[in-house]
Amino acid sequence: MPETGPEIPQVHEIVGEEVEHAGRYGKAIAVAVVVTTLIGALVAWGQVSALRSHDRADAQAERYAALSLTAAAIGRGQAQTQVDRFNLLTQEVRQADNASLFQRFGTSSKATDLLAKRWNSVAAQTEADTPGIARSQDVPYICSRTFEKSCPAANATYSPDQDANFPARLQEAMQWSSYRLSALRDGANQRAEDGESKFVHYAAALTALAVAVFLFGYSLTPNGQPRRRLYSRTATTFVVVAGIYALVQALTPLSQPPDPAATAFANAEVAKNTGDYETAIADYGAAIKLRPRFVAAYAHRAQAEYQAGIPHIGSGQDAQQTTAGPATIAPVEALDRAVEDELHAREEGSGAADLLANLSADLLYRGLLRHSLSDLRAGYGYGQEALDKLRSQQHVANLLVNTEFNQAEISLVLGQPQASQEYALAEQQLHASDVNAEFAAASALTDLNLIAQQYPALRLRTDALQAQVVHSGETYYDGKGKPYWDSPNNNYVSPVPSKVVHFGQVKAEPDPGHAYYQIPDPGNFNPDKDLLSVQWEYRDPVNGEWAVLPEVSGPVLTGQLIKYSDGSFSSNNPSYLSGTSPATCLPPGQYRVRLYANGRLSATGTATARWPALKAVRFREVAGAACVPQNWKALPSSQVGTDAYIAPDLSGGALIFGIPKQAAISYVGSTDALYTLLESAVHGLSGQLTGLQSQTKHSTPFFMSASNGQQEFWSYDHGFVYSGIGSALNGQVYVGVTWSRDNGRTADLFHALSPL
Amino acid sequence: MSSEQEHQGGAGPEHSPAPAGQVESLEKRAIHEVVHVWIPLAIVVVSVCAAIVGWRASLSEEYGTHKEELSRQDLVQQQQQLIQDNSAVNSDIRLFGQFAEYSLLAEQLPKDAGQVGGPVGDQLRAEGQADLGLARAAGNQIAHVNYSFDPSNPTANDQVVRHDGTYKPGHPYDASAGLDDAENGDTALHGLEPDQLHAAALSEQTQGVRFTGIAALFVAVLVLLTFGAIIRGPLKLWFAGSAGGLAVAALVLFLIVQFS
Repeated sequence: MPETGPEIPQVHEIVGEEVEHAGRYGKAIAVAVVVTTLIGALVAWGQVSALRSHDRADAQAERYAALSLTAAAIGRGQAQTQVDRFNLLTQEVRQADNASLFQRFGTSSKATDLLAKRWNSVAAQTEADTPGIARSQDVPYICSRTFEKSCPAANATYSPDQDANFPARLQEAMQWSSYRLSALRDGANQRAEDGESKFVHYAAALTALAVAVFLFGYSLTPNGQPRRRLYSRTATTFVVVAGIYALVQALTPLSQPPDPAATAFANAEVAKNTGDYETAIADYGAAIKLRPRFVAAYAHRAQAEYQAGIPHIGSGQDAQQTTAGPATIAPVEALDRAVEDELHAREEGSGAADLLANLSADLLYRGLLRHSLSDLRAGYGYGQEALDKLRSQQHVANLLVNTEFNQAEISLVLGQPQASQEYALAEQQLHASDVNAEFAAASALTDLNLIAQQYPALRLRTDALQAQVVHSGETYYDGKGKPYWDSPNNNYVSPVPSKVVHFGQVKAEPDPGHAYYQIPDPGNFNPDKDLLSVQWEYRDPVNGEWAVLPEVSGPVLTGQLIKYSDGSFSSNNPSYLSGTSPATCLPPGQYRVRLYANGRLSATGTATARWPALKAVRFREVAGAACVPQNWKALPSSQVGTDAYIAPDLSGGALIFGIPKQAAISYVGSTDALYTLLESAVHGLSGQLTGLQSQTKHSTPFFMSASNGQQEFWSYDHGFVYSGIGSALNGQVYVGVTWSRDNGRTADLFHALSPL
Repeated sequence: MSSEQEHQGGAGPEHSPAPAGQVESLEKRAIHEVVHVWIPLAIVVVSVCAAIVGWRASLSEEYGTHKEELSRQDLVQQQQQLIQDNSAVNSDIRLFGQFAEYSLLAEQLPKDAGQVGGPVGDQLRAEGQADLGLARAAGNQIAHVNYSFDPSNPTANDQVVRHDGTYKPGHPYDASAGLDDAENGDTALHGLEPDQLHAAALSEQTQGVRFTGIAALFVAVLVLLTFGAIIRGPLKLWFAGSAGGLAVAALVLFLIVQFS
């Protein structure tokens, strides 16, 4: 018989007789090898599929990122277009109003009358065209119920009358799809991570199967035969374990985060960014319920939890913090919830620097409030991680300096020797060009107040550090890095005087809109040569610490200190209402003003504010704002140039009336003429204010920051009236009138009137 | 006589007929030997098949990755163009605001001038004339909805513009039409096909995964054949048979994936 095929050695020559006669054992091994190999092939295929899923999810995430950026840009542009349309309408209405005011208070003429009518026609046309344009872009438009005849509630909500942070509400609404796409991108990234993880699991199973195949094969060789049962059993164990492991992986599908989670997240983002924290928390909760590993939802809910803990007046989108910005610290319960969410986000793998910094800050505050050293230590650890990341990032200067201060504070409380060094480093960071120094310093001073309150033994140290921080805040650097200082009378001061200033007394006299202080006895203070810094503080009603109000605090520079003929001084009554964004009124409670002269604490004054919680409102016709009770409503514009908010039962009101200075030029130069105009305006309300009687009148430097302010006090049958007139720096002559049944309340309303 | 026959005890056709069991055993041995001889060749063939399928998988993967990258680039460019087109429409809407304002002023001022009379009236008339020029200029600058005025043919666009080139009230800017016009006229947007490229990339990558699976099957066949080559007895057939079955399956799958 002719031989076919190539010459190869005989089987027995290779493996010997033992294998040849393996019998049942050998057959079993053969079956096992076949099965193992097949399992291996399936696992390899599963591994490739997992890798492919990872790549696809990665690609999908990139697509969502690109779409999200586009949606954000387009949404911003469309929102701005609607804002521009609204501004155009407002300008046209103002043109018409100014013409009417000229007609009434200036030189009356046919041309001016027609000018007003012309601009009213233009405004009517703009008003009529705007909804159609918005509809064709499929976006909402803005309208104001105070001067537009037809204005649906859904559109009025975007107007400055209702959105204290105008135009944030519309802009946020227009960012909704971008937020949703960002959430979808986040979901795709999670899927990509899961795919990668599955790939690794399959790789482990494959390795085990490879080892098993080797052991099976080795058990059939002459060398392996004496211990073949050991090898084969070990191999079988590997196959079983790897097979089950791979099967579990195969039966566990890659999670696909549900789209409704992204929708809920987008709703939450819009709510959070418009100040509706309760709704935001509920929506983040819904998103987390649908997608339990939603890191961004945990991190952002923590921010909402913190903010929701700060006392508010009002509810939903109309809620206003009773202190602007991050002045006060959230209660422990809110900190608990925020920390829990931040830790959850951390456990789910987020290592974002802002998350770590927030977690560190929240643990710091909770640690201080609960005297928990473990919280403080943990906070320090997270803070260090955050700093490591922040120092290599850009555009994070404010977060960096705040975290530096937080680290120093923790070290101070823990008695760590590096505290002084950390404070010095943080103070140095205050001078970085992109740092909002006053806000960072205010936060650090507030924290030191909290430390002094919770750890009285550290008070001496905290007082010294506060003076150090204040002094750092009033130090400026020239282009060559050389420090310099400015006195209140705008004199260059260097070096800082060593003189210890003793103020006889300082009086804090805040009103809902302003932070006013007086220095009746300035002692040895010299505004030409001495440095002066003021820190206004509000006692946090929740935790009790003195919280620094950065908008009205800081170095006292040119024009910020008024000297009187009797030698006393006062602040120029800076408007808290004008300085905050969104405009906010000072809440009732305790206030403290601290004056630092030449880098040392020189005087402290306190006051108790007994007005009710008030909401800040903007006037439409005039660039001004006021603080009114929560239930007061805007009066639809009945007269050109006039805005008013009134109580539902008409028992009180605040009215402001603005005239362009050129139209009122005949009044501006004379105090008598100003009073004539003022009295005519107040008498215009005599139908409402029956029995009106003038009581006193005098000049005032504080009405609407006017240089020629006059004030007149009245009584009427049911209460009191305050009125004022003056020409402000913005070129308007303002007339302000407030009335109510309570004298103090009327005064508070009047004093809070502020230009914007 | 071959050495194989010698090794098997010299059994040959000239010997007396063997018992049935012995014949069966001899047949089995013969099959074993045939299988044993062909296994190396099968290993070579399967190796080549595995290499071909692996190469196809690699090609598909490469095509898929390339198309995904092209899709990404197209998407980014497309989104950039869309932002520009939307931005152009937003600019148009701002211009439209001015156009409508100047138009109404241009219409009203001459009427008001007539009522006022005298030098002030003349001044208003001059202002109206200036506003008319500004309205026409603004109308002509609106790029994506036609509010332009043609002095040589003043009635050409009288749907939305009066015969003097001012805005005819009640025809506000149609942003949807404007965007359509902007996108249709945006040549940089033409030829971009991110979605199609993405779909093609997915298809290629899916094919790549399938080829990889088939390559894994061929590798499994190789393993089985290798064991078949080194083992004697009934197990040899077992391995060879399994390998053969698996190889046929893999080949069929390859053809299906390749030509589907």
